[in-house]
Amino acid sequence: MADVFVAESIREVSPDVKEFTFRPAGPGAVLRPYAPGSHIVVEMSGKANAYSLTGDGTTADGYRISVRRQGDGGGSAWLHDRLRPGDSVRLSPPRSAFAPVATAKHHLYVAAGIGVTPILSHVRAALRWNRSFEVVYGYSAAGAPHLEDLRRLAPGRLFEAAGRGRLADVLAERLRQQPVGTHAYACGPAGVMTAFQELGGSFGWPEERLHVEHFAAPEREPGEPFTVRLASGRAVAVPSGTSALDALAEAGVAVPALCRQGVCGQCRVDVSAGIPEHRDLILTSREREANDCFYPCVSRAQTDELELEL
Amino acid sequence: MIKTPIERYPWPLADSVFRYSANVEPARTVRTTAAGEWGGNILDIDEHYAETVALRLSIFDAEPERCRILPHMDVAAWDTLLFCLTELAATYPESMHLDRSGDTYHWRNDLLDITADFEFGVESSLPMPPLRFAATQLQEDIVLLDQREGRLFADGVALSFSGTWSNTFVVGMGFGDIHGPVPRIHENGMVSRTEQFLMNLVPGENYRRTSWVIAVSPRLDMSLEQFPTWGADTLRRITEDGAYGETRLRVEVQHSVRLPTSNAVLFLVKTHLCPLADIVTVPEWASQLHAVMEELPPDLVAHKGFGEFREEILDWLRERVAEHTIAAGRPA
Repeated sequence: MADVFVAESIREVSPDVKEFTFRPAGPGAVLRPYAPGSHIVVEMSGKANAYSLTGDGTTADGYRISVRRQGDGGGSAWLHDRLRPGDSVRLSPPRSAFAPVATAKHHLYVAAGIGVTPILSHVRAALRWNRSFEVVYGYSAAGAPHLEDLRRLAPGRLFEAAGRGRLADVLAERLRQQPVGTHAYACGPAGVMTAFQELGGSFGWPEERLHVEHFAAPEREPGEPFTVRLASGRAVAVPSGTSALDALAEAGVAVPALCRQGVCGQCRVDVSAGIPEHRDLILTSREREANDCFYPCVSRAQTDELELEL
Repeated sequence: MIKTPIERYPWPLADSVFRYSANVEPARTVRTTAAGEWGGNILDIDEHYAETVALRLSIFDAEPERCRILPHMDVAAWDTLLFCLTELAATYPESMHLDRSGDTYHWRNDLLDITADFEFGVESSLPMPPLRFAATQLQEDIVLLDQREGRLFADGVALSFSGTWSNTFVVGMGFGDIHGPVPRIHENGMVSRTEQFLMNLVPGENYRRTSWVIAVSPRLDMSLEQFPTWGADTLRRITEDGAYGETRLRVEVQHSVRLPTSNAVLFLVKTHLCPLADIVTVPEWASQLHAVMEELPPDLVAHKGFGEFREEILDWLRERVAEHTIAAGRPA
């Protein structure tokens, strides 16, 4: 459900980081408000990458992302080298997987390197909604994207750390000094996120108050292709990225369905041979192990073929 | 009298047997019924709009705690307002208008003759708190669910027309606790499954379900807060007079919406009322309702509101079904 947007402006924010601002262009494309820490997926000639939005979520100034150039063949190189102001790209609507906790008494934001992008969004939203917060920003000598923005936005509550060793010290100090009720959020290289969780844990932080940004959203994998065989002996191919429910409908076999999310249970189909890959929220673990039914709206197959009682 | 005509009635039964289930489906799916159709919109404005909003305001004025948020839900309240006004303007473009210039919005509601210019997030720019303002533009009741630590909490309400439960008691409760009194759905895992489903909602993909009950009262507000003023008398009158045609099939159309800015879940409830006397004019509905109510086990009968007069109302329904059968020229 990606829509067409146009790159309105492109600017360099540090030697290997460019900021892109997008405005709606195609039919149906609109700027949707989003929760701080949300990302959009940018589609580029066969590739699709997720990037964090850096605004406060009210989208008054378009969708804005900052992208660090990594390697030559990937999406970031395409954005850096190919995309020009005025060019069109397809963008998915924002998705949130790193939202602030509304009940927090105080927010500690931790950014390292290009991990600063979702943190910038959090800081802007915190200012808009008067949230109590502070920021730790670790950067390298090679570049500190948006450092000036953070200095301007969070004077007196920005803790800078130049270099990995210094970041560990600052992080430890800030994690130790938080009032009860603080939630902490980190985005950066895997090593920094691990250190963040280990340090927090060693200082007695409850796990559920230490949030890390996993770049990919928890969306369902498209899955491997498989075949379903009907009682009549007829075979229906289910390609990757297509649900068995849709593949069956396409083949003229309508299975009654409601939610299409593996929740309501309406589309249950009995399985007589083969092992389903259960991805629903309905079956208990014991029911799953029986492997005698599945929900074709979300579930797939571990075996090449599933025999259905349809 | 506030009622939804059968031509637009959201018929809630799918089968001749009813059990609680996570009967969710995508919002805006138009459903054809034996008498007409319903379901094209999320927010539903009908011929009782002005009357309903006035009634809601008088309830909130008398019982302010029925429209309130916990302090951390301020962003969600603004989110609710913006979602609802945007949705109304998109659904009713000839009478509702929302224009934006940066952070400033201009709202015009021709049906209620209301205009407002407000700045998003600035409470002083509205004549009342944002959740209350939203509630004055809708016929739906509102519950705001905060999502944290892998759970949902009802941390904001604007409830004027609920069924027989307490609107004020639930504020701050977890999703499972709110549903505590509903039989069977805890043991069979339905509550936790539904909570999981709601926590996976994403902005723009909205879902709905229906819920039904037999109500002895024609009132929209059947909350426990008001129960002492109407409950016992109404029940006595219905059963003494045998006036089962005056009981209501009370149907809630419930929508679940992920709010984009706050990440809260907005739960909207439009309550529809229709006297059983009207319902049974549709032969398919008369026999289906009779079959469902007759089959229902005792714990569900009580929860569906007709435990005090099960035999009597089933007799009454059976007679209506027989009338249709005779009218259709088939042997009774």
